[in-house]
Amino acid sequence: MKKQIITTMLASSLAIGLLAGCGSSTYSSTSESNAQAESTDTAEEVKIGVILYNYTDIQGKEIKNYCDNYLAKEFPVTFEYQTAASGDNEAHLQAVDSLISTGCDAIMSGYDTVIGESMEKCDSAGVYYGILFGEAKDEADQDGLYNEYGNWGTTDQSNLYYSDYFLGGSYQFGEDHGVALGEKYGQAVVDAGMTKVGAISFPSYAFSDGLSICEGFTNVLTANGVEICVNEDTNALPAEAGFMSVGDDTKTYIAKYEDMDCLFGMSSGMDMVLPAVNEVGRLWSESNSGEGTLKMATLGYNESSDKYLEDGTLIIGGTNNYVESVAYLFTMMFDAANGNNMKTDETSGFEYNATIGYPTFTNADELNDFKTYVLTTTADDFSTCSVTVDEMKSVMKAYGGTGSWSDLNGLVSRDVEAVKGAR
Amino acid sequence: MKKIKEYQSELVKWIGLVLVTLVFGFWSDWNLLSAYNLNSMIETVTPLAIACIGMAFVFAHGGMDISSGAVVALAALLAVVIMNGTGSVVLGVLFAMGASMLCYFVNVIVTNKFGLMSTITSLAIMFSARGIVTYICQNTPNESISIANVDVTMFKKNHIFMIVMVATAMIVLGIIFNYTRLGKGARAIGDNHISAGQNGVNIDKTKVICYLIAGICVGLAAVFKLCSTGMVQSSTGNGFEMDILVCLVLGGMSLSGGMGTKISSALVGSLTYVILMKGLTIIGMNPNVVILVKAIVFIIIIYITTQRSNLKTLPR
Repeated sequence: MKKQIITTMLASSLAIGLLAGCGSSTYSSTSESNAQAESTDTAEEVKIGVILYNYTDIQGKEIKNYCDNYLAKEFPVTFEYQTAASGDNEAHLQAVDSLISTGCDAIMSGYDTVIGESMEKCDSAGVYYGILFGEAKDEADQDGLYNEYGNWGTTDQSNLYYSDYFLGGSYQFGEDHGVALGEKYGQAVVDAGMTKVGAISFPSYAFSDGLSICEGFTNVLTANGVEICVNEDTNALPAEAGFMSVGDDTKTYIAKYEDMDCLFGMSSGMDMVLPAVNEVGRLWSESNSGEGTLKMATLGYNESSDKYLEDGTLIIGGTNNYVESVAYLFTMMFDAANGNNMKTDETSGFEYNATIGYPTFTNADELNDFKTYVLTTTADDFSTCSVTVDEMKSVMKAYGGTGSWSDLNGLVSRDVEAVKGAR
Repeated sequence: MKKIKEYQSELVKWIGLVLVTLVFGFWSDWNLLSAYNLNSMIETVTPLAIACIGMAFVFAHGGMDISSGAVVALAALLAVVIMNGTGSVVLGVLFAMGASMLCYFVNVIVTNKFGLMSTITSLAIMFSARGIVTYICQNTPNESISIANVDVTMFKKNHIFMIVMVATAMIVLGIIFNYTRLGKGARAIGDNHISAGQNGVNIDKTKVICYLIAGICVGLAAVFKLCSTGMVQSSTGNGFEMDILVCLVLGGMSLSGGMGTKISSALVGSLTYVILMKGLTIIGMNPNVVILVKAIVFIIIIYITTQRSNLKTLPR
């Protein structure tokens, strides 16, 4: 009996004790510096949740840096972060649930994971929801069969596409779903003199734009007489890589083409594809002691991009403009939480998807601009970043802005040259 | 006097539950009890409590199961295929229960016939079930199978239905556990299986029925889990077995089984656990620390539970 009492008390006190120790250091950004914003502006305090796979890769670091060290200091906003492993829908829904429970006014989901289920929760709780790195698709309009394989789930859920609380997503590779981007990559590879080229990407259900990008890429290559290392199953590009087996699938693919001289890594090119090529000694690199012959074109950027671009291994690299993606949803969410929802404002010109820029680099100068105007962790100077606070405020009605979705879309779809011109 | 002591023992669990609720309620400015959070907790606790109630029969006779997460995945997989194929939720539920019962039947038969530890057998069931689900899901276009055009609102949003299901499971299985030959026999086996056998308890049969009851409950829990996410994928049910264990020990369940085992531990433990986890989330604790808290609570209570047992035995 005595021990049972102890058990109960211990469980309670343990939890409470840990609260005292850890609870204060919550997983949210601090909002100490919000005081300044609150004292001068009329906007109300807003709490925004973020869900990503992790906060340790370049994407996670960039987003957290921009939110915590810039937005949270310039606006009365607090950010809460949750992690949901790639492909784990249950974990994603748990993250959504947790963020709503903690009182978030809006949630930025990195991906279009189980939107229907997520929106059910958000709609019932009056929480705004948007996709950072994915397109909002009205699957109900396609063929009426969306609910079998679509992310929107059941029929009831798909109706939530029209909910006031669903703020949409963005085209990460252009409105043509990446055809032009693929052509840009293809041209860079042709210009570098490559003769036999392959490409590897995530499964099409998860990265449907990968097919469009490859289409543009292939068109340029074939027009210039470059040989294609086809995926034997489809007799076209790209080869397919599983989420958890990108490295192994890359090795298997390149092993079939020993004379391939360039690989387009579309499935986390720098983080997953390039290391796999290097592991088997196929990477062309000055620092590589092997006899590699493969050069790379990558969707993706990381700290090693500088080295590989400099020594000629990396022909072209690039990444989603994280700042533009976050700035887009943040602007809409912050204004909506302050009573100015662009989606319900007929004069705003709201559309479900903005067109986010996809900056690329092929030489040192472009890479330098990329680091100055696109990334925030390397530049450490937010005054040059892709979207500044003043620009966002010029659109937010909470700060006397235009409240125009078109203006906002214009801000977040600029390429590096346009951003550079505006600074 | 003995009854009063038993009553006090029950009371302590409920006081613990109230205490956790009050502490986190106060801490969160009563946000813990907002409409959204109450509904969210009902949705979380329903499959957990139902599975725990069934699993109490397994733990009562000293058994142990770590396959419930994988069994949930397999049962949910069968349920979604049947639902999509026939449009019938009822058939889906029945097949989910059937699949789960089959898993636990194999588990207990292997344990009985070959004298293996139940933990080892459940490990084999876990790998087999998870393997099947992973293989099938990976060969579908989305690496998952969604519920298609079947109305599962009842299992997903009807909170009254959820409460009724938990209450029904608790009452029906509570009566079986406390007042029937089966329940008493199971607990007697947990105390001393030789003595139980000598006193007329059919040990093998009792264990089989206990596992089948657990199978029914886990199957039902699988349907609730399936409807909450709307789909099955290879990660469905991950960690569910550990949640069940934590709930049961948090509710005061002795892992060595025996007459002291109370089925109410399943309900109190589930409620306490869900409120504790929700409370920690609401007050803003880092999700990784929440997992750590879960682990620490589990270890401490296991230690105290084994210390409390006279035999100091762990599950067989």
